[in-house]
Amino acid sequence: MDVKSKEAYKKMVGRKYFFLLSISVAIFFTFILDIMTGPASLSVREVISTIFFPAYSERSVQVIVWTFRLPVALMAVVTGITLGLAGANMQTILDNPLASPYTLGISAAAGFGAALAIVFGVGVLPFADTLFVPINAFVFSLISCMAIYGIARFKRATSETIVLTGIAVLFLFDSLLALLEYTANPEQVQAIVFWLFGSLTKTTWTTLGITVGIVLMVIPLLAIDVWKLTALRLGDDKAKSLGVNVEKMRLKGLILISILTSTAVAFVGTIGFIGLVAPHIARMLVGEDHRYFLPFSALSGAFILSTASVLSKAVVPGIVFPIGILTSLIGIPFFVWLLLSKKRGYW
Amino acid sequence: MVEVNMRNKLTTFPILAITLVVFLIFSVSGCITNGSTDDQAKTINVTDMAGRSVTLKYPVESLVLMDSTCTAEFSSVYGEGFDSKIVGWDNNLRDNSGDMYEKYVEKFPAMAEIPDVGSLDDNTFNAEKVIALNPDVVIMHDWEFMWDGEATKEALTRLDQAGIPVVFLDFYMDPMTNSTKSMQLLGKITDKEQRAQDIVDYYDDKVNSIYSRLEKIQGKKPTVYIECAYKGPETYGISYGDVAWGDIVKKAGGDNIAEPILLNKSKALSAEYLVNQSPDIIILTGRNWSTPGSLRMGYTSTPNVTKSTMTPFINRPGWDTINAVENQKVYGIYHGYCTDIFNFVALEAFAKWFYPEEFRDVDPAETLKEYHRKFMPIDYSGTLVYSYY
Repeated sequence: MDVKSKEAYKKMVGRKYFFLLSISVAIFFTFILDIMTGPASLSVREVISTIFFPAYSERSVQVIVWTFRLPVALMAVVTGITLGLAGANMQTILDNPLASPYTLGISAAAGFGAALAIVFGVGVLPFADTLFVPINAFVFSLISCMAIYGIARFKRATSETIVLTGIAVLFLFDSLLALLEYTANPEQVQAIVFWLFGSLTKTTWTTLGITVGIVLMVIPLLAIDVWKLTALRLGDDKAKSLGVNVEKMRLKGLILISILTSTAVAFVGTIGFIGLVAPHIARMLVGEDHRYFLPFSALSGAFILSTASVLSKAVVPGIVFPIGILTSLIGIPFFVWLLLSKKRGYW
Repeated sequence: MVEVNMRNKLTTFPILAITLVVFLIFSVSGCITNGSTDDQAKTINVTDMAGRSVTLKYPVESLVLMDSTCTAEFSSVYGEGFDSKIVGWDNNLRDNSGDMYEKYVEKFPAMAEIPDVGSLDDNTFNAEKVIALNPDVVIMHDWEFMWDGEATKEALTRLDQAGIPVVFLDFYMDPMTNSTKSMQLLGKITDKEQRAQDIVDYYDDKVNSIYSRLEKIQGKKPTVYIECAYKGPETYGISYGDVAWGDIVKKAGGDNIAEPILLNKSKALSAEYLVNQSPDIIILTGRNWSTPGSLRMGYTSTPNVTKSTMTPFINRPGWDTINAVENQKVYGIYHGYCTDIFNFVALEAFAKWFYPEEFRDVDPAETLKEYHRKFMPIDYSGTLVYSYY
């Protein structure tokens, strides 16, 4: 190996690390900003001292920082990571630039599950009132994944089969959701719509803990496969010749994706767009090597959602503005700019 | 859905047939009496609460109430025999004020048979059904324009084509000004003007006594947060700017914390804003909603039920730091009041809660009992005004 190519490789890797570092710093700043913004005008010093020495601040400031702001700010980052990872993994195993948790109908299934809970179920389970909607959403998104998985097992798990099945599932749950909305009363429809918009404001330390736990569980399982996933991007035949069991990879990926998506969707509602666009941003900036691509995709998701969280509080202070409306509004310009600035196709 | 259409068809034909027969009989009898008097039905022209000029048959003998909770107003204005005049309504009373519905049906069993003509809120409004019922007038509310403008306009067009007049009332957009006017309008078209005037006099008497005392009160107004507690404690329900409840809070001498940011809309406030504002008084509105965890109040609720459904709201994170909770000033009020004639009782209750000293002698529950005795066909019962502490 000559020195030149080593140099070039080093430079390339260096650039990737630089990007990873920059976005981490950016997330850190949006996160801080997220804790700073809110209808209660607290000074930076107040917030910091409340975070580190809660006992010394007023009860109401404690509540504002610890109950209202911190969980939401952290949830924005974690959910962003979840969706970014799910989307990246999905596009890879399905070999399809349009794949996202939406495309496979996982979000639609979750939405239907939540709506079902809102219209009929809540109250049937007196003990799990707070968790009933998310649990239902989770169960239904898993069901949709299993349906896709089952059909994929039954046929050979080619990416086309999976994508088409996913689209079928998407339309099925969309129409079921419409049917529910049609039969529900106006208050329930409003609750469903609001849930579909997505909202971080209901986050508690419990739901945050569950989400973090699941993400931490899934990350190593994905990390093991970075090389196989990278090989998969060369196409099925090449990956097979490199010894990758493509079908097994696909099914495993599908299960991990469904766990990630279901978790994210269950607690914050269907926040769209991130799962689709974060991987593209990552691909444009750090390329296809999954050692960099997966983390960067996760971090882009976190960055978009954290920014959206800050903005959602800035629209009208004191009113809860649905965050799902903002994610695409802020992500699109950036995405389009990246698309236009790329000299060649990157997919 | 098919079934519903079938049902409509099945009811439409006999009704059409009956109308035709009735019409024939009338025209024949008209001929027999040689057109002596009433072959020209009397009409009346009124301007409704939406500012529309409407000409209708006088007095109206059959109504469709697009908001069935308006039964309370109509029955108190019309008095004896009101139940047979309602020929159609929506399901609002049955689904959201089940307690009041029960009270009415208990006393007037035939009311259970009043056909449901659907509702504008959820696009189930069935103009065909209304036309088939052929009422003398359809009663709507001004808020329909705010919530379902398109559906309302379309309904108006269709009813207009069928020659069925629509009269708008308002107990919501500007409750403390328009409620009495709406009552007078109802009285006017049903030829019950005296009864309507009695109610209006009673109402004015009550509110003016509140207003005149409020004028004398000096000093800082208490800050107030009012929330429609229909979503259960986990989710913040809507609060009100300068409409409906927000307007009543303002008129009762309270400083509504939602007004500066909501202006004249109704939306949910964020928990942080509320805790940070730390209002002096919190009012939650209750009803018999189907949502679990929602605050239960109404004709069939006991104070215990209201208390146990209110406790989780008070235990919301951060509420223990709010002045209202620390000073034990958390109250409940029946949600129907912002959309009906009873809003004067809400005004009384609010004034009493805001300025307990000055209104020591006022008893909203007593006022309610009196109103029921004087004007309502059903008896007062249950929990309609509630103090948590």
